[in-house]
Amino acid sequence: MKCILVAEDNEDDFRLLLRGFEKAALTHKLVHVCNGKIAWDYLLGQPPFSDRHRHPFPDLLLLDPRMPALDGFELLRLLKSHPELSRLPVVVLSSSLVDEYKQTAKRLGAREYLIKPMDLDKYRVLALGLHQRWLAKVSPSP
Amino acid sequence: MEKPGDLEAEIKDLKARLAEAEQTLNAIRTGEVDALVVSGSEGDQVFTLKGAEMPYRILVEEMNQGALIIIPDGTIVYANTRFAALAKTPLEQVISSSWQQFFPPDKHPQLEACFKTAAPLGPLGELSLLAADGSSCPVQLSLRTMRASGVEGFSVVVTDLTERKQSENALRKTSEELLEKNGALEAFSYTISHDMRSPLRAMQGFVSILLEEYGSKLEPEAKVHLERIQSSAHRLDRLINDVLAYAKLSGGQQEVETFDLDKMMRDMVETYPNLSDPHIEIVPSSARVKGHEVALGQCVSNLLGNALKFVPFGRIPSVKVWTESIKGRLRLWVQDNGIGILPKDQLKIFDVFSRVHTNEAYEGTGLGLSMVKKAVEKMGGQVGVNSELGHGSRFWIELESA
Repeated sequence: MKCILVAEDNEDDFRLLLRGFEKAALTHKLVHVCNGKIAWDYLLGQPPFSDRHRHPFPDLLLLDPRMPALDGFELLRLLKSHPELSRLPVVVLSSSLVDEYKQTAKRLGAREYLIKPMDLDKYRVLALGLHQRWLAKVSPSP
Repeated sequence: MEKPGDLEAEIKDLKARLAEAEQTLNAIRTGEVDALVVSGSEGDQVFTLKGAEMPYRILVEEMNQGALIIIPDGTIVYANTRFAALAKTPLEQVISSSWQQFFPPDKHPQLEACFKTAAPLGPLGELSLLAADGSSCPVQLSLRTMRASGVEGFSVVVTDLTERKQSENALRKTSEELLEKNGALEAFSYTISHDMRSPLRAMQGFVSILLEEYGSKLEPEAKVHLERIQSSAHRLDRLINDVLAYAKLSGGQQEVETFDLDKMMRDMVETYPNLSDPHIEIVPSSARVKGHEVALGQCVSNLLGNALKFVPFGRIPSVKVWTESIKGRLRLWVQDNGIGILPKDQLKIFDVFSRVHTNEAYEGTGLGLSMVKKAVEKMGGQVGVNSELGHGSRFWIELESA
């Protein structure tokens, strides 16, 4: 079982993503934080996330580009300049089809830029794809 | 003590000399004088302008540019009224004064260097002309050495750039405003795509959950209602996407580029996998056209989507795409075996939100063809259709060949 940190300000979108993983029969732990600032604290293990047993370091970060407090692109910028966190795979999950956002995400080091699906079955397919590309292989946990 | 009679005589004499001076000035202005005397360190110098015939002088006097003749020591020996007006200095003061006072000191070395070179000089860069009242105006100079009838010097034509500068500034302001509006539109598009699609995704997602996981517990009619919500949400999603695409096509400034039609078609089929359909035959073409590649790809995909969609129930679609050269232009044809279009509807279908069929018969947003028309016209092209009800349609896009 792997851990995925989901930085997403929309509760509905997180629930649907969770359903996608359930439907794909995947049992990864999905941790939901609702802005980039909390995600950053979580990744650094700062309070209230200092206990790594209860708040494990994620194997993958799913990021919504637009969030309050600290948005996805700003978080990507911070991650990129951090010596260790820059290795964490990040997939941007956006509802925008605007090409500039995709380019920005890629430039800031996101591994993938995916569009949020519009139906449940596609969430299942998305979860399967994420699993195969980023979580199925054995990777060393920090 | 002078006698009143002497004073009267002196006044009379002064008046006569003033009248004479005015006449001389007027004569210079209108070209009736052929010589000018300038007092210098080596005594009076006489400059004759025999070659300059009166009509030419009148021409110079009347033209909309300032004109000067400067002799090598820097003295202005001729100026037209336009120059005097630009310099806001009386003409009689301009003549016999030095050119330096009319141009900014930091430009003097550059101008002196020009005056020293013997070769004819083309237009100089822009600089300021200093007027007597302390104001200045942007001008451009055109210099030429001249040697005529014993006069050696330079002719200088001074073009007032004030108006050009004003229109340049106005143009720059307009284009900045346009860029700003364009940016605002892009931001608006992004907000729409994000903010409007999010709640919609939730509606679709949770309706799916209800149908899949609680469907068996629901009464059939409740299920039908949920399915109706689902299909409406799906339609709204398509509408939002089309509005966005339309806004993007009609709002952005697009550079016209030259590109390979075949490559565009290949890229298009790659972008829209549903178009790699066995019922579509694309005749290869080596043509190159002028337009906007991405936008044209979207247009052709819209036409192909329609060709596959508007087919009578039970008929297998058959779509053919080919090109034809017409007098330096290239026409791209998309032919289908679909339901066809009545003559009265053939113009209407290119209007925004115009639909011939109900949504129950053929799903759509009424934006596809208006998008095609808008985009193609932005590339300097045209669109049209030949069709007969029940016998298929032939849509065409015509662009300039490259």
